[in-house]
Amino acid sequence: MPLIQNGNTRAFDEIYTRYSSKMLRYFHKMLNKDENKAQDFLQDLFVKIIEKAHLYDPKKRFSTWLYTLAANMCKNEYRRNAVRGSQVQLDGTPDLTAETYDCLKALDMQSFNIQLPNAINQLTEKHKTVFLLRYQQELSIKEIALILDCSEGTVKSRIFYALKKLAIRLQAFNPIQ
Amino acid sequence: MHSNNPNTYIEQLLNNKPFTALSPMEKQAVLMQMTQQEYESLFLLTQKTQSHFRTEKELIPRPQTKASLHALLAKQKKRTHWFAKLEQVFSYQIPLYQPAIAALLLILVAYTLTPLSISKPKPHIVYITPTNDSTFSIVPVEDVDPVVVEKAEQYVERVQEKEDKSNPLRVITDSNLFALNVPDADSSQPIGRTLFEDSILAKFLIEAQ
Repeated sequence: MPLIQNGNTRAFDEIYTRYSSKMLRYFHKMLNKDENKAQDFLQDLFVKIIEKAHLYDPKKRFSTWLYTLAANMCKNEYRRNAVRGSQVQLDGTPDLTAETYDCLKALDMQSFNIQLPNAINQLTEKHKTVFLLRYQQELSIKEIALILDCSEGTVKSRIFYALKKLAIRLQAFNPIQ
Repeated sequence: MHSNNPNTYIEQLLNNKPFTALSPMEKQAVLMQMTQQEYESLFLLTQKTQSHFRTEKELIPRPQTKASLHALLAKQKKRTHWFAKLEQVFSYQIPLYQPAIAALLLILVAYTLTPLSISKPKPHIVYITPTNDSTFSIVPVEDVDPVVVEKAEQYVERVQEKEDKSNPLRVITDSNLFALNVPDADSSQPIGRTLFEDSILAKFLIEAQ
């Protein structure tokens, strides 16, 4: 980070190569699959890294700081949307109840892959963040707790509730029921 | 292994084990929160979700993003060194209690080091010697030249009432009927008898007897 602060292009390229794709996927999911917005957010994130490099605490992991910035950006976007009164866009997909998808119970993973992002979009911002950090970014509970500045118990609890909500929305894909 | 919140414990199990692979103790903990069917459906969802994210299509950042970031980085490099340092100083964050304690200590040190004489100046005592003339001198305690101050004169204007000599006879009224022998208040003669005159009168009366 001190190298980036001094304008070192090679150091910056290393970080960009390592994290840009991951962060783009995270923004894409967090911002309701809006790819253009996700691309803009990615650029803003790296602008912050360049401009606020001096705020990075070397005692902490870089990825933790990066995800903290990203999570805060998404949180602010959700707040802005709440102020504007806009609703979360759901691609016009109806709720996936057991009745609607009764005939689709035997559908394969392909169908699940289409519906899971819609179901994730219906989660609250807090639940969506922990869920994506855990399952998409494959971060540890401890790291998520550091990113979100909360206890590990809170993170586990939020993941559990997110899973329960998703299970209700995606119960059509559950061959057990 | 158990945490305070059972949900946190179940979250760990959901990522690793199907219901059939759980130990009797783990099964007991799970069944206290949900049915076997619920656990199995959540486990399946977890597995499918993990699989979904692993096979998710790769998103590629826009090429112009990197180019614009490089331009910003070059601009950042050009920034003068002192400006960056200054910004660093101003953005340095410390807990609020630290400046509060520092300010308190500063006040305490300033208070203890300040002598009381500075805070309370000694009064300069000046004795005034009374004199008969129209001036008097102020003699300070220290060896300072006496300061002569002119005494302020007090002018009292006496207004004398004009004596009414037009009518020498007194008008006798009810109020002054028994006071005919009493001299006037403005008379220069003393009123009554002195003790000396009293003693002479007493001596005379005793000797007469």
